[in-house]
Amino acid sequence: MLSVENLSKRYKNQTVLDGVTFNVRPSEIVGLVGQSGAGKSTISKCILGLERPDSGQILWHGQSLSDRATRRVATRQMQAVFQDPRASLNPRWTVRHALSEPLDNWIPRETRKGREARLRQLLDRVALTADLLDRYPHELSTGQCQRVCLARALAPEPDLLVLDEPLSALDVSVQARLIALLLDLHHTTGIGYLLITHDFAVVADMCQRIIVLDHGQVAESGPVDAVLDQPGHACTRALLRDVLPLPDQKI
Amino acid sequence: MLNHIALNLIGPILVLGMLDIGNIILAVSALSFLGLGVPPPAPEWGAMLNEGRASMEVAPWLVLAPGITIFIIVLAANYFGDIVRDSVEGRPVHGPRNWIRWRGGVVRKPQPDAPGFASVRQTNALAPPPRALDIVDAVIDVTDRRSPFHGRRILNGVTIHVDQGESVALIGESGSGKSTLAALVLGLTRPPLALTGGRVDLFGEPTLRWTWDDWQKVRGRQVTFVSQDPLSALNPVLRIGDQIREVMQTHLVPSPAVLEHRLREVLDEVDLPARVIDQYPHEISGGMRQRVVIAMAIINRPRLLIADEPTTALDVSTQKRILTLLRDLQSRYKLSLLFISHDLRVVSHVADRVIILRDGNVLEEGRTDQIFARPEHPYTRELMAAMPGRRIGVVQSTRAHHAVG
Repeated sequence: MLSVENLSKRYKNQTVLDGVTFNVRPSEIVGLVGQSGAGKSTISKCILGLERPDSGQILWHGQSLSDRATRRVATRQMQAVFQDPRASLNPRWTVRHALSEPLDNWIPRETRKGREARLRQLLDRVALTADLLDRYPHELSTGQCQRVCLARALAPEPDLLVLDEPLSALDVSVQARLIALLLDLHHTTGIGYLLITHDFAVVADMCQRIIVLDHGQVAESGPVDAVLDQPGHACTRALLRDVLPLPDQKI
Repeated sequence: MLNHIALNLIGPILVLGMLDIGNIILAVSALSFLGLGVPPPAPEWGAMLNEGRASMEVAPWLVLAPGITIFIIVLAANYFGDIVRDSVEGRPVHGPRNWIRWRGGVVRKPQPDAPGFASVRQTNALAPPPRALDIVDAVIDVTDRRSPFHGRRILNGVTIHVDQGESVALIGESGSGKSTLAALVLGLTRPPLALTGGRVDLFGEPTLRWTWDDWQKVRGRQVTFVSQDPLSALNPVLRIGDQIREVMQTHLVPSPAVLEHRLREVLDEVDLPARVIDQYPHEISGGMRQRVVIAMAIINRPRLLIADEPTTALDVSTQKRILTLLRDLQSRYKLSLLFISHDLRVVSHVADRVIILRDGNVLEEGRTDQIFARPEHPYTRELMAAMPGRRIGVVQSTRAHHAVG
């Protein structure tokens, strides 16, 4: 579905990405893991078109995303959720307003009734109640804000969600609920995820395939079980070792 | 685009506009004062200043009246801009609104129980040393009537204590009142919140009647704080060395040599290279910034360190290093540590004892290994089950067993 080929990017005199190649198949959950500075966020920016790669290309269903028509199609089929839900929502907009904007773009000329039903359905999919529709972001908890961001990303019915550290701002139990929600959505709708994170713990629970990034290069990639059981690269081992043990699992 | 940006720009634009009004008034007055602005027959404050200047010694009011008027009008314009901005803003305005009134309202007489911190109380030298922190039945309510949360109880009779040299973790999710508790220990409970019951003792001394100045002597000296976001804890326009020095100079009067020596020493303790002294916060990584904040927190050799989610903003590897550092400093200097977090992994790495807080109540309390091996309260079990990455632990432990065998 999405393939990144030989992607390179330099900022001033620093190489951020150096020939990164990977792909995401339809309805697959792929984890992109790396320490800070490994180039994870640059990749997500390039994929979302917020940053122009120096060389290499990104293909969406086999067509280059630097092509305007493809980009337009991909913008609908590929949505994103970012780390800070409060920064991603306009503080002056109600939830209804925030969710209506993508709908206005992608599904214009809808009857008022149909729109209302769709809004409720969207909130229902992210396990929020419809009475939140007329609230402002500051009246919601951070977890609720992140669900609203998720609902907004789901509005155009995308095939792939780019999740850039979607859980780091949330409490542990909220994280657990959001992970369950994301997995549930994946099972019911077959949506694919590209999960970008530094936390192996989350990746281990969610992903089917892992790509480990180190200094702008793909250090290792493979199915979750294989990478976890036999990490082949020193960087993977270091990341795994640095996951603090659970309190009841202390060695 | 316009939709997203324009409305959010109104606030700053109004403020800029109002500041400009002030500036224009000042500029016109200055020009008239030099005789370049409004021509003489028309009344103008700057021109009046100029005319009054000649007879300043005989009739000072000729100068003072226009001078004061300019001053007040400019200030008023700025203040008016502020008010307009606040009322246009959809969000609640943060910050201590009645800060000034609250500070002024405090009785400024020296209190009999002001912090003296006699090194050891001679009178009861045989008694066990006082606890670093003793909070008994603390109740915190939203007492400000203007607050939308008026009447809500934030802390509901919380009793916790931290012994000297002990590391205690406070676990709670957002809204559990854990950061309110941190503010309470630092004497920073401020409107709309107020302590309505209970007491807080620091190092055996009751703090209820301490004034702002008393707290100033304790904060940063005996009790220090490491916050979640090191970038907002540091001043972006000052060099790191200067910021660390300032913490020491505020409380002690060190000679330059001692100060420099201690600065190098403390950087060494937190494992930072000496080059950061001349760098600015934006030039170093997030993990290094948090080390700088920790350096500031320990330079005065405090007795109690409060760390509020110190590693949440950092990546996993940096997180582990910071935690190990905190643990290390704590045991080396017999520091009392109150560690606040929602992350059980992090907590089990640093704490001797764990307190679980929810909705302003202490649910469970006990030694770290005991709590996690046999959690009593269902909420604790829920938190344990919520931790992601359970299988990584399994992988890690099997690998360790292999290594041993």
